[in-house]
Amino acid sequence: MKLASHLGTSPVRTDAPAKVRGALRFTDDLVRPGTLHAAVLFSPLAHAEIRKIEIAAAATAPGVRGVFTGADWPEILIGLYMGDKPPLARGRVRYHGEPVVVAVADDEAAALNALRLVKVEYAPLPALGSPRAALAPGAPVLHPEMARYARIPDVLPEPGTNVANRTKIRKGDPDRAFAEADVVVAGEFSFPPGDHVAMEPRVAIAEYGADGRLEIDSSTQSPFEVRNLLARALGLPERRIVVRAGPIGGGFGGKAGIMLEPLAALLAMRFPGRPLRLANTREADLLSSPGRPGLQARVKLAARADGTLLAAEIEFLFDSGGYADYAVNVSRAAAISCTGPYNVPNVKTDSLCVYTNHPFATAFRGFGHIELSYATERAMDLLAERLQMDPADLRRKNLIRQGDLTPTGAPMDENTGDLPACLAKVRARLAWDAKPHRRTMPDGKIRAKGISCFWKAPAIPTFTDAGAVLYFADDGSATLATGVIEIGQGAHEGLRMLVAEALQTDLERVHVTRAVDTDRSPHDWATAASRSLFMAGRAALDAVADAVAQIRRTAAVALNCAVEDLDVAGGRVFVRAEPARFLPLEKVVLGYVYPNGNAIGGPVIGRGGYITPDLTGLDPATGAGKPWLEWTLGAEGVEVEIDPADGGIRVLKAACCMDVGKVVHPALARGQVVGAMAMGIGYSLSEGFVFDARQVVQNGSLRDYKILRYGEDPEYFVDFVETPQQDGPYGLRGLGEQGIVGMPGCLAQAVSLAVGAQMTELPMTPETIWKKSREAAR
Amino acid sequence: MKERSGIAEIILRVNGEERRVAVRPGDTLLRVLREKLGLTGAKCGCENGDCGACTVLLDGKPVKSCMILAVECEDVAITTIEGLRDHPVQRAFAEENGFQCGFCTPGMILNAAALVEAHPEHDDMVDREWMQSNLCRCTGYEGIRNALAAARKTLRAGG
Amino acid sequence: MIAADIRYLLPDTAEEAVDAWRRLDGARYLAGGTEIATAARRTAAYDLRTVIDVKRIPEAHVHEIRGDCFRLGAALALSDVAAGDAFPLLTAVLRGIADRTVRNRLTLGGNLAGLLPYREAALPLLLADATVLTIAPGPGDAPPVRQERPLRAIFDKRLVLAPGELVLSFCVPLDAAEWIWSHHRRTRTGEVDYPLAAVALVHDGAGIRFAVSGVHPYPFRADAVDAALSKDGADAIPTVLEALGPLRADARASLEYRVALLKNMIRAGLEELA
Repeated sequence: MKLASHLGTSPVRTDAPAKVRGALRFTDDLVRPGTLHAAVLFSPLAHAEIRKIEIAAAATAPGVRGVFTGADWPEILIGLYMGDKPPLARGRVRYHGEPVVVAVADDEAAALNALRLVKVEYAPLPALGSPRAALAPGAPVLHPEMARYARIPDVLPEPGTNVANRTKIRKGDPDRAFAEADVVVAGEFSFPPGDHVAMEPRVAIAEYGADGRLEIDSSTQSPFEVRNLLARALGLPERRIVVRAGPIGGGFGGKAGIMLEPLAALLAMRFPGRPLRLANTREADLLSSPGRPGLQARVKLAARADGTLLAAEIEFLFDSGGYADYAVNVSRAAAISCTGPYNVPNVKTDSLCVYTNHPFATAFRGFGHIELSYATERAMDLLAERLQMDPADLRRKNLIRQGDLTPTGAPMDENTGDLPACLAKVRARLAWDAKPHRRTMPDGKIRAKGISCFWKAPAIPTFTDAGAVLYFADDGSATLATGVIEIGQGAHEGLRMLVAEALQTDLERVHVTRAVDTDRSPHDWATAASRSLFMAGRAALDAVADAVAQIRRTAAVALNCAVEDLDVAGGRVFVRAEPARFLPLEKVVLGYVYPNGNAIGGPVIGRGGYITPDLTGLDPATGAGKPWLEWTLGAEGVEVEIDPADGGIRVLKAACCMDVGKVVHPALARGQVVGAMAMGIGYSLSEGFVFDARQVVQNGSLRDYKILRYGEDPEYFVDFVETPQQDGPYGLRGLGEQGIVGMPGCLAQAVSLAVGAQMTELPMTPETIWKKSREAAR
Repeated sequence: MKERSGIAEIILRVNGEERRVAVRPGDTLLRVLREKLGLTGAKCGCENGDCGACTVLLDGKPVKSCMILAVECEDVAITTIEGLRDHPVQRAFAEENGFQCGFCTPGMILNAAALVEAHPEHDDMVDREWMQSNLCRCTGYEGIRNALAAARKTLRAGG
Repeated sequence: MIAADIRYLLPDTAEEAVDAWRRLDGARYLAGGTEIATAARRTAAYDLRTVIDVKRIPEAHVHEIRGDCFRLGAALALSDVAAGDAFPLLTAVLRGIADRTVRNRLTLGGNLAGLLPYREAALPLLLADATVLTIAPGPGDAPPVRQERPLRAIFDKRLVLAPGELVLSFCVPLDAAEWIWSHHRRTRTGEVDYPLAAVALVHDGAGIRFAVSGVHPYPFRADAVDAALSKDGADAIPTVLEALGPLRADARASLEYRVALLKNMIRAGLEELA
């Protein structure tokens, strides 16, 4: 009766037919008659006082229903972890792209035309172009009212400065370790803020009904967070807000915070009974809605002569831009994992989230880990250079293992992934042992290899939850409802496989609801942190167990046997010792009907839930605590080819091996890793905002902000190791973000080797590579 | 000399059907397809000609519908993703995971379909030239490359 | 979206197009439309009232050998010109502009006469001493005037046209297709981008001709530079740089990098011609 396992097979995704026919409806594909359209005027300056706004001409333009500024509402400050951002600027603008005026009209053209009639008078203020500039004495304080901002307890702002959050890690005795070390290396590494560039620009459609309910359709990763924050911001009870989110066109963290919903909601409440659409242009999506943070880092490492790491002293200055949003927790996550996957007994880290006058930052794939990994991997390369060690050997010597203490002082447990195996696999893929790692080709180009190790833990609230409900249809097939958003990552596919596995049934007999609706879907923290298959998976298994118990209870009566003698598999409930005594599930799941018409049982509804069981916050003074649910460990490597004449670079190979506990759907797992590696290549080689001296973004469109295109991608090698995660469903752990984390590190190592000097900034464009080559040649 | 102004009624030949539609001459083909004809497969990814999510075929040629006025299209055959029925490229994208979120997919598939029909044999440089017109942020292009190969194989085998 | 309310005209002849332009204040010619669609959306100051679609004008669609030249209609899409492959250097240059599906719309005339800088299609046409056929409103009520002039005579950073003057076609001497050529192009990162430097070189049998864009936001060709490169080869690079004046420095690249690229490209190009 046991079916072959679904886990480890790669069925075609159930959303494939709709997606390849263009039939899947994304949020902006919903067209409702009577919709009002909002268009936003953005600040052209990075930092300025708003002197005057003239809207009279715009407000009386044809088709226009209203033109609004920040002064039209009492102060409303919104932010996921710290409320610091008004939906429309009030009094001053803090970044290029900040919304200043919004026009609402019967059609989009009228709204856009109205904006051309608006006049805004600005008085420019000095713009802060980096965290260090923002921390310098005498720097303008961007948020003088920081002390009264609402925040979660884990965020520790420093009012009167531009520090939105500071997380300290104090482990062991770093001063002594540095004093006693054989070698000490130090470096500074940085990159500018940038953007997620999800292909679907953000959109929110809000309607305030005659019944006093606010309905919002949004391209969000976090419908429940949106409901919660809106309720607080608008002073509406949660029962009067519903947030609906369908499948979304990519997120990468950029749709995890709160975005267009507050402004759309405020506007909709001015026009009860009419849907109001607020959709980003691509330019607005890049500049005005949150992007990902920049970083300025200092890393100092102490080691023995044999390469054993003794201590790390780290300063991360995250550039969160004009507002903090999710970034206060990104900097905190980077502190928790600050050393990378190495055993470092003594650590002193300060990780700061700093306001600047750049576009504001939110969660981004890797969540603090891509940033920290870049900085620490660069420092490891300095150490390898100093010790004349193979960079892979230096890493292998220091890999974190079960029993070692993480920077927050909690031990790595029995779920610790097999990082040595991952590193070995990547070495093999790159023929790492075939030296040298730098070769000059006959045409003068240089090929070089680089390797890195990474880790990632979700930085989530200690009470992160996921719910699941399992329903059944007349034919006995099951439908799973969760709060997980399908972003493209395939989480619904994985959940379907977990449920089919647990029910021991055909995949075709399990369906996962696509749309999430806060009125009807079970609560789920957010589709972020690579935790959906883990947590919603646990909840789904819990729901299956609950449903199976109900099925057995009804069937036991109908089959006249003991509940504990029954099993469910193959679409049947049967007596374990006597499988011929069975009922097909369709005869049980909506209640059993006796031949005479009497019925028992009623519909089976499986209920499941999961909450992170044993997480703690951090000690504010030392960072001590156990804030992580699980660690995904892995290694990555690349081979690049560089033309020293002009710095031109091609990535020839990219390899990743990570320990994911259990691979559920190999093709989708590979797709996640490959996509993340590609994003990491763009992050390292071409992406990031370019600013002028006044911190106005110079590349605020896809014409100029360059992400990877077809043919610029390397040959990919992806491998998995499966050390089970004991508390993960079927032993799995998260893998969606992780493939990006090690890419900047291994790419920077390879480029540095090729050019003969250490790269310290991203993106490593051909020009920066060329400059470094020339410096090295001198 | 043809002239269109104000709100003009035009006839577009979309996916083999004649569709009568009232447009402003400034309306791009993309907006008319999406907002007037309900063909939302083409997406507003950038409306600046950079991403390719709005790609449709005009007389079989892939173009970016965000850069074309609907009134320019009265005499051409327009094919949108909704008009592509069980094309080998669609099957290949499904089976080879040539998509994740699916937002770039309609445009990507139309361009790919035109590509494999124009070039039944694989040529890296040609594929690169054509497919660089469409951005995908999810797949890293591996699944898309595999889908092109699979679709060509199917076409060679006779569909 | 394009928010402006506009009037759209589709003339059948060049004369109709020019007449319409004269009648309608602020009219713009529309060919591929790739520039108009983006400028109308993004540029607040961009005034769009009337567009005159020139795609139905037969003369703007010629694509044939006529006498001793290739006649290339200004309304031909770049990908169609490239597919014709009349002039291999032109094919190579056009493949560098924008991306393939944009090139399926973007026209030869649009690339030369539009507002966007760089105008790379001009490089091979300038090198080939192509001529350009235009039609312009006549003075007063006079009928429109057609003129065929050397491209170089009316090209100064861009096509210098009279108000309402419309480019109909280009004529590329047949022998240009036989010349040895080289083309080098570099961008900030990926290929689909504006050039930091784009260099085209040919050897016409008698000497070297050189044209460049990207290092300035417009194409450049000068007889003195051609003469110097013909005479001194790579040793003439300082002369080339002097003739070009200070190169562009912007968010895409520094001046030094552009200089380095340019030098590399000239050297590599000359080697390929040798």
